[in-house]
Amino acid sequence: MVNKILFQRDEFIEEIYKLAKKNKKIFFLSADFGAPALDNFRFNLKSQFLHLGICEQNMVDFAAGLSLEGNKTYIYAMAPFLSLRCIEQHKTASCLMNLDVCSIITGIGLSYANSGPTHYSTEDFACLRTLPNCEIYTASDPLVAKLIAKQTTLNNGPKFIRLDRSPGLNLSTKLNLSQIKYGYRILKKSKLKTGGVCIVSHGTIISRAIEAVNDLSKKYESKITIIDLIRSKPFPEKLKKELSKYKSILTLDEQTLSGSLGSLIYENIYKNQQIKNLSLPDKFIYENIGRSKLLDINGLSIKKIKKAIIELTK
Amino acid sequence: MNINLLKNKANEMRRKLFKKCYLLKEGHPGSAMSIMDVLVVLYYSGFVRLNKKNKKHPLKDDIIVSKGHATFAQYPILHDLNIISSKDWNNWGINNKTNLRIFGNNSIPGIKAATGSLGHGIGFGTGIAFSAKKNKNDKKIFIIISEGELYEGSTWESLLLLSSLKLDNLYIILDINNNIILGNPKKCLDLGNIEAKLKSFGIKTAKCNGHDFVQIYKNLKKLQISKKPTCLMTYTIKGKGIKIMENKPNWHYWNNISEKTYNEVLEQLNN
Repeated sequence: MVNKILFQRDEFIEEIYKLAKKNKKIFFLSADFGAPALDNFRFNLKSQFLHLGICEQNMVDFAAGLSLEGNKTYIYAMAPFLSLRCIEQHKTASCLMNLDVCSIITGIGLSYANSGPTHYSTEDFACLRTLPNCEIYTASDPLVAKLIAKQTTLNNGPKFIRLDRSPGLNLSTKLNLSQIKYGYRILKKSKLKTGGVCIVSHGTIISRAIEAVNDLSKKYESKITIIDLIRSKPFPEKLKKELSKYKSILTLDEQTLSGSLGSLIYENIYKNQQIKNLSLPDKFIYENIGRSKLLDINGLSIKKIKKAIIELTK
Repeated sequence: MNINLLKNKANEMRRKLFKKCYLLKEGHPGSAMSIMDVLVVLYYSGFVRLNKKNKKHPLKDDIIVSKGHATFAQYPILHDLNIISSKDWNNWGINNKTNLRIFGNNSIPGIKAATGSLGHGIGFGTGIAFSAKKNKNDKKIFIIISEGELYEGSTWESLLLLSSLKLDNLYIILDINNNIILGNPKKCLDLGNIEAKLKSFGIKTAKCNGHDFVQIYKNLKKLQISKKPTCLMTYTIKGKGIKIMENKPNWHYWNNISEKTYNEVLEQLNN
């Protein structure tokens, strides 16, 4: 498999398009949000696509209505507006009634760098995961996004799919649907049977963990595992056991700390382990310096990740 | 349409619901009683057709009470129509062996959607109506909203879509009882000319007394000919039919009453 630079959203939508061609009960709704793959969908499957206006809240309720009639509905908009802006709609409509609505939340974290704090989605994970009944998936690369799309067709019920805005390479081309069902994948395995450090992350920020670990000397590198948490809700049962093997856990999340990945891991460990959480600071970010530099100066630099790993391996 | 039947049914359903509220010591009776006459017309005059073949949801047409606290006004009717079982109905307020809850949700037989927070019903209904049209299903969808829901931005978002999709199989019934929690909407935040606003969104409107069976029936029949989405603006009395509740904002919620008052209300409803 050739590793090409691809957009997560195109990989996801392309897969849904293939499925929708065979299933007239699949609808795709957009709140004025596009993608090249969506052009195929909206021009070739006109009767299954609707432009809902820039009305994300109504899009959720309308999708709930479609799903009450037995349809499977995908709704698509920019991350902050399809998450926080609609949180009450998600609660009352898709989650409370356990409906088959998949929300494609695109541009998580600082994806929309330089657009300002209104366009950053740095709290969506903490908010969405409080909703009962739902499943939450986060894509760390285009192949994961494609496989999550397949996974969404395997069962009914509300799902939140968190995608990045930017194109990227696949972190690994060896991935199949069964690993998506598993809920996580191990991108790098520690050489130790027990002890060592487990880095847990999700989304494209995980590439910084890989870079940081590759940058460390063998002494540290051999003691580290990197886990890509693809399905964070429901939390993968087997991951609880896996995490119990490590002396320390480091979480890496492109979200503010309150209620996000660090909290999730705290809620799902059996024993007292040393945990360190690296995330964005509890403040609004205004600097116009691009995503990479924003991450560097807001607590998620490679240097800071390396420092945290070294401290935890001591 | 049989006026005597409707009168008797409305009285009977108010009585059944009032008795349950007294047992439960909770609920939103004021809001429920104001829409009871409209519900009785919808269920007993042929607007809502039954589909007994579908055991999970034995109704061909759907009603969503978007003003969710009043959803339970449907329960005595659904029990009368054998959609809610006697076991569920009789145990409600007595023990936990019932699926009925004060707040309606789609796990209750005959209740299409979960409601409670305001401003969702038209959005849900638009999705249902759109799907029905796609499938060439002649299903009709009645959405009962309150004037309080006109404050919610999501109501106007859904009206915009409803009108754009030209869904003439969805009928909004607006319950105007001039009472929100803190009093008359005009004195809280005036909604202005509601009819003009609805019309400007492409909705065909009609107005009537929401307690006059003939007017409700005739206007709904007339609106069913429309090729546009419609709204019947019904002017109602909060707590209608129960003197201690009528037009009393505090009867938005259940209030404790003596056994003597309870019996007096039942006496009124028997006549």
